[in-house]
Amino acid sequence: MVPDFDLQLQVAIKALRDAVAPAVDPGNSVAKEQLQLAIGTLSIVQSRLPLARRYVRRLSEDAIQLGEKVADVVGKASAHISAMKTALEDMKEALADPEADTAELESARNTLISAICEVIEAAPLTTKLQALVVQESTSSINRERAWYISSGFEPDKTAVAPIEELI
Amino acid sequence: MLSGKSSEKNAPSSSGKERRAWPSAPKIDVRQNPTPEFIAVIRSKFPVEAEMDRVLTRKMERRSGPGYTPISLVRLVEGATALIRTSTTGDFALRDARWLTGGASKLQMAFDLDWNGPNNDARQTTKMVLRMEPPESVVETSRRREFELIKALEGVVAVPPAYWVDPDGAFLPHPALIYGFAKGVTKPSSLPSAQVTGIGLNYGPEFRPVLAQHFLRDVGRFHNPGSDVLAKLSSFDSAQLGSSDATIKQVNWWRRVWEEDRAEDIPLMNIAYKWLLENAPELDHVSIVHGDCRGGNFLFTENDKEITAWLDWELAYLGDRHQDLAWSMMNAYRHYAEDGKTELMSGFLPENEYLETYERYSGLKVDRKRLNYFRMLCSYMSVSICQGTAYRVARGSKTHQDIVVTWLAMITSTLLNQMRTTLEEVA
Repeated sequence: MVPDFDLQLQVAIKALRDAVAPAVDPGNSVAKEQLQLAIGTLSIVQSRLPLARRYVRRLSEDAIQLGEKVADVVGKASAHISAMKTALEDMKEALADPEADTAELESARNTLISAICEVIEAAPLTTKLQALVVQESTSSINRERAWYISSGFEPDKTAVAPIEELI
Repeated sequence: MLSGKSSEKNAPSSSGKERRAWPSAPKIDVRQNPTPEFIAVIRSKFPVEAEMDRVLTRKMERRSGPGYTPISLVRLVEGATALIRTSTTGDFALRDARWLTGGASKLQMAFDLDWNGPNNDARQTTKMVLRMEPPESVVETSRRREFELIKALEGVVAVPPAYWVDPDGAFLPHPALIYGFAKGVTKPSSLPSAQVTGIGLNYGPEFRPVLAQHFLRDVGRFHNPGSDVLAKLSSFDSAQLGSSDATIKQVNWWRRVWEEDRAEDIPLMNIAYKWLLENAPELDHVSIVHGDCRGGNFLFTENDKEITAWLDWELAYLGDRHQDLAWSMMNAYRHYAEDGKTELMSGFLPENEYLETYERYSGLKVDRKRLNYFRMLCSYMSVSICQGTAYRVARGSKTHQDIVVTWLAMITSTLLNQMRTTLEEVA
């Protein structure tokens, strides 16, 4: 696969940095800022693209675990529980399907997460439910913090493990 | 929802194997083309202040309309000229129109106005700024409220003089206001560029001590507005002492934005919303809440380190002072001092000193329980903006800064981590 995605992104970044950036009007600060962000965005995509499938699979597994635990806590009382269980099964089957592509896994995950939210929305806020969602959200949040670490928004980068260790 | 297996069609691949057709687009994108029924349900479920209801409804009704296309300075000068003419007698002329940068939210054009002044009594040239919305903004707010508040705050804290407002975009392509250009800088000119939108701003040891005092002095002032100032704010719902209504409306504002804009659900947001409704405190003092109160949202002059203008009042409302304190103390606006150990709130002072200084200037007590409540609300609000609206406006190509707001969306996990730890602390 030549040129591959990595090479195509590499040359696009190089063109923007080496040929386009020097040609930008130094007085046009909007253009300068947007060019830097365009280069930064492409660089993040270049570094994350090879990891995207693993990343989405781990987030999908997080969602399954959350959904199963929410079902245990809320029980059969919720009118939305059967829809969530269907979404859980769909998510598991999508993960088990080697032909399912990354976008399809993401779609199944979003559907499952939406179904979980409908169950939470309909349930009374108990200490147990609150603690469960807080606890079970931690893995996904930490993976996402690592995924976007290059954005520079994390106040203490050393508090975040490298993405390769989290997926 | 994904439908069950029985309704899925299997498609043969080129290898001859059957492939299950997984749906590839989530149903949630009804938000990109909202129906009147969808808009009405959200309005009904999450009541907000009257003016904010008008602004958010307008946004949704225009959602499926065109995205942002570059607007020329010539067009803005034409619109500004028409707007100024509505209330200005005598000759006037706009000169030297130019773009201003800064912020991720609004378009800004600077220009010089040759005119006879606000009282039509002396020929003069005044430096002005036109601040206009794009078709959709990363924070959808009211120019009418912003204009009204800036006018009302004259004499309370330093604000730029507000001259004209076009609240419905009758003269300009989109709603806009015109105010006087204030001198000063948002950060010391010797410092390198910070993150987008001012996050990570560090004033440095030379400016920090004095600016910290001036910052907290002014916050104390607009947190004690006085009845004469409040009486001028007709576009704001009033806030009642002993009631949590003002805070609930604020919670609903950001829940409504989340409902209108998000691409994905987040279970923690549902938990946070429920918690915010159940724990909303009764109001003990009516303040003007700036809404984006932090370093980077005021101008100062470097020679005397005095604040010359408070900016970005678009998120302001009448309510609880603790929201501004909590916002300014969010993780994103903190950094460590030069010793590498002392964490500075909003880049100014360590937490206890920060709050004590505020109490001294304002004469108002800081209630730690309320502060925790508003830490939650600030996290909730930030995620709604950065994960919800930033995605939505960029998806619809609605702004001049799509790449900036998409970059901003990458802060969401950091904000969710703060929300998660706060929920643990308050449990």
